Amino acid sequence: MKVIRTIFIFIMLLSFDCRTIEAGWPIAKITFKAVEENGSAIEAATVRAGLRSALTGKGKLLEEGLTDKNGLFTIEGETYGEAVYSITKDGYYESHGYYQDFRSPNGKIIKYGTFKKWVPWNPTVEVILKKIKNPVPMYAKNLETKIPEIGKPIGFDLIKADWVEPYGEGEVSDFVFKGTREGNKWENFEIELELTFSNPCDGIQEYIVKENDDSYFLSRLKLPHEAPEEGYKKSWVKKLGNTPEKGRFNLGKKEYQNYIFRVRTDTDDNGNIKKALYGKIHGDIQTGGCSSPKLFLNFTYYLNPDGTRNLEFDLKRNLFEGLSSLERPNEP
Amino acid sequence: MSRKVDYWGLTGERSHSAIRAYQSKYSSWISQTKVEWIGPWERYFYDETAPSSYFFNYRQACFSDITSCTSLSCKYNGETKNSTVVSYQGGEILLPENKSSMTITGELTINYLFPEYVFDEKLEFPFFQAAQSMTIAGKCLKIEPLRYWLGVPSVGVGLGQTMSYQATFNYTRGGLFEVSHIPMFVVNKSQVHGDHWDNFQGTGQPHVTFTIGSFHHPFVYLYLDAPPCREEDKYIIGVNSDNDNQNTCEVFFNGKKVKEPVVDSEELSSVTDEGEITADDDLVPCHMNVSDAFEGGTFSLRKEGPVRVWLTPHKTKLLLDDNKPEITNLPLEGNGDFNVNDTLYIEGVETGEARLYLNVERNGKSESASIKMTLINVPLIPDYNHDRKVDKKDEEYASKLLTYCFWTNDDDDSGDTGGKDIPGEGFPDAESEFMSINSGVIDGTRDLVDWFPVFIDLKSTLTAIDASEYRFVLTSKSTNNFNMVFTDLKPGNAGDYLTVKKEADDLLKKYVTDFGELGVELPESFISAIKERGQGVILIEARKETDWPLQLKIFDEAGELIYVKELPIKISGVEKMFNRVDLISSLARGSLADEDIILAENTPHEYLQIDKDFVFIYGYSVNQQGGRGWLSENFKRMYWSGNLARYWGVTWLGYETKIGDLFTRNFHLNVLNALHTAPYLKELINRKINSRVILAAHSLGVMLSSKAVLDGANVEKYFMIDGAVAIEAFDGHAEYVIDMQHPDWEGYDDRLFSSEWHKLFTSQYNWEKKDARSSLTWRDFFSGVLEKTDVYNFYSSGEEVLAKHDYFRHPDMWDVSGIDKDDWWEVVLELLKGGNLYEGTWAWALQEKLKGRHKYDGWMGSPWGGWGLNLDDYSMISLDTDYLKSYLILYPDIDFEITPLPPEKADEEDEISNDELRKKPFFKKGGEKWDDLYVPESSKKPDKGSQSAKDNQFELLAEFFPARTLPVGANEVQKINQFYGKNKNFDMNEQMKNDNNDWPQERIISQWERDWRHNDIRVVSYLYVNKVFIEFVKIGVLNK
Repeated sequence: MKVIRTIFIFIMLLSFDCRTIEAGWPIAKITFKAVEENGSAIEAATVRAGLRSALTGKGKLLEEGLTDKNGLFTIEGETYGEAVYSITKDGYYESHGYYQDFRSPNGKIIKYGTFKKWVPWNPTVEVILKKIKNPVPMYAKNLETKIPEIGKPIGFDLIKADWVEPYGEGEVSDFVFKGTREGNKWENFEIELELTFSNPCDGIQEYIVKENDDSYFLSRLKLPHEAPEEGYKKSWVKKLGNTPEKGRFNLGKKEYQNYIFRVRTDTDDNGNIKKALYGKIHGDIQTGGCSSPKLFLNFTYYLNPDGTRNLEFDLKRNLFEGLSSLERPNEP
Repeated sequence: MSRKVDYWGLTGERSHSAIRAYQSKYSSWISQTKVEWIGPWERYFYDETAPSSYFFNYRQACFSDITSCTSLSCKYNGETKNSTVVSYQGGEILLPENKSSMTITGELTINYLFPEYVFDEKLEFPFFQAAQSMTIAGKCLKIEPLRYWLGVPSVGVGLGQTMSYQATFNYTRGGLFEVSHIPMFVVNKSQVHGDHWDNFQGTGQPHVTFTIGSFHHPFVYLYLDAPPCREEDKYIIGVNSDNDNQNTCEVFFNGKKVKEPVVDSEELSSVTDEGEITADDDLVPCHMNVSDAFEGGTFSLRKEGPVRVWLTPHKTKLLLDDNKPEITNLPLEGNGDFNVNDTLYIEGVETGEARLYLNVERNGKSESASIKMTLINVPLIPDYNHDRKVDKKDEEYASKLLTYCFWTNDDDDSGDTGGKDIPGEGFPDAESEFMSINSGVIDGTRDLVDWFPVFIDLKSTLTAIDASEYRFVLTSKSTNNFNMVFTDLKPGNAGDYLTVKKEADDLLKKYVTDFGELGVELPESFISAIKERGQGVILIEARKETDWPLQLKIFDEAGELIYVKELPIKISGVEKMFNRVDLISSLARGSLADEDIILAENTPHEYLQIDKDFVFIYGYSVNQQGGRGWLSENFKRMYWSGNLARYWGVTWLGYETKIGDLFTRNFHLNVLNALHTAPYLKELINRKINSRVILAAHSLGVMLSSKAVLDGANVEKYFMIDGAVAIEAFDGHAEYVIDMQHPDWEGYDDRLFSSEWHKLFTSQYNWEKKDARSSLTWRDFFSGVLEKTDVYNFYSSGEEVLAKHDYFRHPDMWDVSGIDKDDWWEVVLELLKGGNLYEGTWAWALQEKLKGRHKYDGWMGSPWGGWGLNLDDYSMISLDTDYLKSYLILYPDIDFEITPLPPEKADEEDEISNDELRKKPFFKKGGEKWDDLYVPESSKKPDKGSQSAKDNQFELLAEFFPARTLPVGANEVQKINQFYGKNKNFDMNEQMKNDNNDWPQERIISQWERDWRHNDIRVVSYLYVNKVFIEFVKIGVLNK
């Protein structure tokens, strides 16, 4: 085996370009700062962080430690240009993420072996830890269904997790979906999904947890603790398709697109809200089916039945029973 | 089923005979042993007047179940009084408290049932005549501490004289046997010898020597006390819950059974593999022994409760069952078919209680006897259908006594991610090196798939018997063939140790116990857990191959075996449990031959199979040994996900140029192998299997499988797992991804790219005949697959091998290795230490982005086409010197000498026309090997390009023309969802981790954070990745 390995090394070296390059991955240094949602530092949070490297032997750069009184924790080591981390503390939801903004100091394109240190050198990454406040039971489900008919508004009951009669056993049209489609070939089709509501003050608003850039962090509690009081739109429309004119659009998942909604809103004579149920949707609302008889509809929703704006879900108290493992959401 | 001896109880007949031999004069004494006395009392009797007259001295007596009595008289304090009781039909005699003796006069006949287990499991309960005329029946087993009296004549023996007495007994029940009491006549008990025989069995000759101390009576009485026999209701018979069906594992091929199981029938209860009918060893033989006094009479038999009575050991003649519970008035000498001397065979049908009554009549006089039986059944129920719970279905399979097939635990699992899963390689898990030190623990969560749960269904039995009086022992006849762990699991969640981290963690703390013929006793805490909490699941792993059944034995307090239950089991190497196909040989031979297929030997009963076939193909860089690990582990994981389809593991040549165990340097060559192997996979599926096939392939196996499906392999559903194929192959119009473009090509027009060269040969170029160069693209190469089968894409956004290699990283060897020549000794050192050089990060992207970027073929790229620049034809410096040309051959990537034509010039069509590109592409042409591919510069030369493209399409796609989209194995394929109108993309990294989103701790403290990596479907234990396998089973409907 030693002989094979040695031969292999020589074969490999013969394959290299003959540029003069330096040994090992460049060095990076990065500091993580754990902060509250109000920006104040969190001391003694546990940070697990590592600088990624393709070499096993050199790759065990993960370090674990506690943030100092300023909420800081620093690591340094060889990397191909990426850091990964997670920060935890009792009473807080874990936050984890990637840092991928290391760049070569000598140009836009990174040529390994031509520099020793990544820039920026020792950037400070602020990581917000959200407090665990009041997780409550909710109706939470990864919904995978089909819109019973194309071109017709049809109500969906979030508590029954079913379409309303005659398409299902739902009783209340919390969401009203209407899917339309033009064209029925993969090369030329366009779908419009419209979401409306039964009550005047029901509505939905988008919530984007991060820009779609390379470096980011995510809290396990993706969305705010509480739903906002205002800002709900009475309808929401998604268009997607693949046409010769427009090409493809909105076909993929928008990972960081989320929603907060309000349903079953009861108002007084003055239009003031007396009672409403709030909920959230993690991820995008997906639909499609260029040629299928029905359009599919997938989204992950959480509905808080207690009438408050609380959006913290207690994973151990899902009000839906008998969900399969794929139907059970695993985020709070 | 074979059972050890259940041999207990005093054999009444033999005891009687033995005693009577010494006491012939007083033979009638034995009758009183069947009288149930209710104390406090003292008793003795002697022959006062005549053989038929007896004197009793007691305060109170009770005769139970007296069925007849004639001529009974009592004598109180020497005064004889005729009894007012002359006939009894059950009941008791209660004497006045101040009366202490009476004489019973009359003929006594005592009939009783006295069961006996013997080594061949025959139950004998002979009727025998003890005396005359009085019948005491029933209670055949309810024998209180039994006292045999021996009246020894002492006449002529003087005071102080020593007397010896020796009795011979056939004493067949273990326990204490004691000459416990010699009445007042004996003063020197210390001279009694041999008065204890602990656990005495068999024939004994207690030798008693004593000295006469007084002379009160012409007889000396010895009391030989047998220990208490079991209570009547503890007389246990096992329910005949098997069918003695030696159902061997069946073998299927081409959808037909090659080997048929031997099926038992109700009437022919025991059939061997060879079809020979033998006795059902679960029947309990019994014999009737009727007094000669009834000669010429008749007898009747009646059964109550869930038993059947047969006249033959192999159940060909049924005597009594629920439809016919009684036969009456048969002559004792028989009716030709049956007589009173025939052996009966009792079969327990269900749990509960049962009785068998015998009544004998002659001349209007009848006597009867009965035996009472408690019927128990303690099935050992494995998770036959491996749905991770033991439920009614499994009970049903257990009741049919199906053979449970499982595998030896001989791979090398460790921790959450350790081991290669190759059977027989490394230190076998089941023979842990730590086993001898601390009894061992399970080798980590990866090892859990190699254990199987067995539910000991003891709860109902524990309500019928007092567990504290019995020992429950799990055994196997093989020598320490198994290891086991007692768990806290219940049957309904018997498989939670496979999927629930808490259960797995709890289990890993428990000690492993090995067992074989000596067995392992179920601890009291485990018995209690069964009774109180409905638990009773044990986990077992097999060390070696065996056909010996598992056995649960129940022993009574005396150590006698009273019940045995077996679980037929067949343990083999895991590779004998699935069909294996060697497509490496097929590829070498050029055809798929029968010898390339090894059929499974150890497959379950047809009840436990469905008529579907699950075919699995592993990926790149897996050699034959590694493939054994992949196929075996995948089989196990599918098994525990409930797969009942036949499993086919396919070995193929995806590892050519692999260096030792390190890695395979030439990806492209193996892409070629995949494409060339596809016809044999198709043939396997369509001709050899020819069934409803669910196909699953991992990594580069997706290339092989997709080609086979495209070419017509009949596949019902197709799971792509971490597929190492570009999205554009399935979706020809998928958008380009900048990260798949080499940065040296920044600014150049797409038409110059090798990936777009095929567009120069569309029908616009040659409308008469399709030019095969138009097919030199990955775009839509597999799009037909979506129409031919039902495709599901299981990808991981946490991939490293299929990860996106960012555009801003200049791809070169550094990306692959992280090293260069300056520190290669360091790498050599690392390798010599056994480390891995390269984990495969970005491997797939790099092999695409390095096409055309190397001077030699076969190392993560190629020297032609791709992203290589054609500096011969398009460069800013045109130095026509021999020196420079030779230098370029050696170092073609030297760009400081010659720079390519800049984008602003190259992009202009009037600068480089399409015609020119057909002859002189902007990418590296590839030397003489590919000269024919291009349109000749001279119109006089024939254009062989189309033929060259046709002949070499696979090679050109593999090595020459890069894909410009990301791989399906790391990304959603949007077209799949839209095409089918259903979400069929599953991000394993997000969706398929276990319910609590757990991930191995050892992985978290490594360099990656919770990412589902390329090989994690095998590497990470089933505990964390089970959802994906369960989803395979669900989608493929592989469990019903």
